Amino acid sequence: MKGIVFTIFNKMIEDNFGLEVWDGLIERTKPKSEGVYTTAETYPEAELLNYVVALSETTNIDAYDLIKTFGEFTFPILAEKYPVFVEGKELKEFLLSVHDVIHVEVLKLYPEAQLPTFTYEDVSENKLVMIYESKNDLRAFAEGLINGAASFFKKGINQELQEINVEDGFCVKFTLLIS
Amino acid sequence: MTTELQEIAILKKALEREKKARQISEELLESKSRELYFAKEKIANQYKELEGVLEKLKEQQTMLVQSEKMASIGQLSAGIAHEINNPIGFIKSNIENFKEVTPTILGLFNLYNEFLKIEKIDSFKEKLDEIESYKEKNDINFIFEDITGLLDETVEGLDRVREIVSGLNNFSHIDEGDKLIHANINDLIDSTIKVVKNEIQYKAEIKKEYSALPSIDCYPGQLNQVFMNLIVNASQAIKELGIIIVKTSFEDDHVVIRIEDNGSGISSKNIKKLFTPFFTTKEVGDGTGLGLSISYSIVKNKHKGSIQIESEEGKGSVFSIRIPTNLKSINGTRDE
Repeated sequence: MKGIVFTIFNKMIEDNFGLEVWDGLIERTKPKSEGVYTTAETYPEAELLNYVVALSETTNIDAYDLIKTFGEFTFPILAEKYPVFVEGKELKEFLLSVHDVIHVEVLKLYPEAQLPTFTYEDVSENKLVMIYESKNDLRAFAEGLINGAASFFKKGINQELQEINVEDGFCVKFTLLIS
Repeated sequence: MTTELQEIAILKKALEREKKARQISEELLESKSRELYFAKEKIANQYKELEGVLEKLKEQQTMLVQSEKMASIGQLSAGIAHEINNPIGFIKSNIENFKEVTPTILGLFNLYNEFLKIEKIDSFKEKLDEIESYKEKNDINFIFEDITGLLDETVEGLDRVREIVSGLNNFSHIDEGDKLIHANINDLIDSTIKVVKNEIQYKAEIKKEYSALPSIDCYPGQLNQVFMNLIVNASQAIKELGIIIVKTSFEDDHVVIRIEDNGSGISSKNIKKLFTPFFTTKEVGDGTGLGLSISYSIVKNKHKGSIQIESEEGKGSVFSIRIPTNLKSINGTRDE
């Protein structure tokens, strides 16, 4: 997992729970990185999941909700860092560009990044189906990012997630109703 | 107090982490900079290599154009040999005739010499009679008439040989340094027709319909090759005595050359492939399949012009070439 995810997670914990909690998470989970993250490096995904589990235990907030919140928190930071991907776009247009434009650009910058794939079904003006496929189950993060995107583009969104059984990895159908 | 110390300790740890992260980032930046430097160096080397390859390709293309030109001449060589042999044959026979009559003429010359040396006036008449009888006996008047004709014919034959040889020279000649030369297209076509005349004279009559043209900057040797390809192709499309009309005109700052034949025409299926290298409908050995693709490249790339074809099966074809008159300004100041 790319370091940028960790640095944003670090920021979210510090902004919402304080430096002490972040320090506590590092102490408790003892990551190999020792909690030292830079955006361009790659770190084990387990480090993030361990933080989430530990934080969930500390705060009594469901781990799924924590990851979803993390997604919501992440979107505006990414949008600010890479404005070219959001400028002049509407929410749906943006979502439709995730797989063919944004992920392509991400891979140019970080060739070893492991990204989920999205396939689309553009049902109607306000309805979009996105099929998420990934080796790792980060649907909560995707759900949070989509919520974050909706807020960023000042739209309301309703997401319905439906798991599709596949042999390898995870597959989830996101049915999005934009309002 | 303890809380403050704890806070300081946490901040210290956070600071340590930040420092380490910065160090890692800097190392990463350095390593990326190095990678970038080497990548740049590699690209520069590859660029140099590619430049070399491009240069080689250009040389090979020039060689290919030249060898195609020679191949075309090779195909015409039998005709050209005949064209040269014919005048050489009659020149030789004329000179042999001349050699044969030379002693007779010298005999007459000697008689006149003797006549000039006569001192006694009485002998004049006698000598003159002898001369007259010699002239009559040897048909001197006929010899003189014949010699004049023989010499005229010989000079004409030699001129023909010289024309063919200079025409061939124009063809095989690689344009010096590939430089643009000021030339008149009508003259170029004329020199082409001289070379191909023998090849086509039993197949087709060439009708020239020239308009007055301005001289233009062009690569004459290469245009000769284009005209030769098109005229020979036209004659090959003709089964029995046909007509090839070569028409030139000046339109909108372009010299336009139309080569029209009333031969078999080209099927629409083949028209598409006409300028493809190695495409030929001729028998193996009769054509390289490069003539038209090279002609196309000469007109399009070297002269920034165009070639158009109109053809109807069974009726004939028209090839129209348009060449701009201001090639130098299109190319800028460089001589391409």
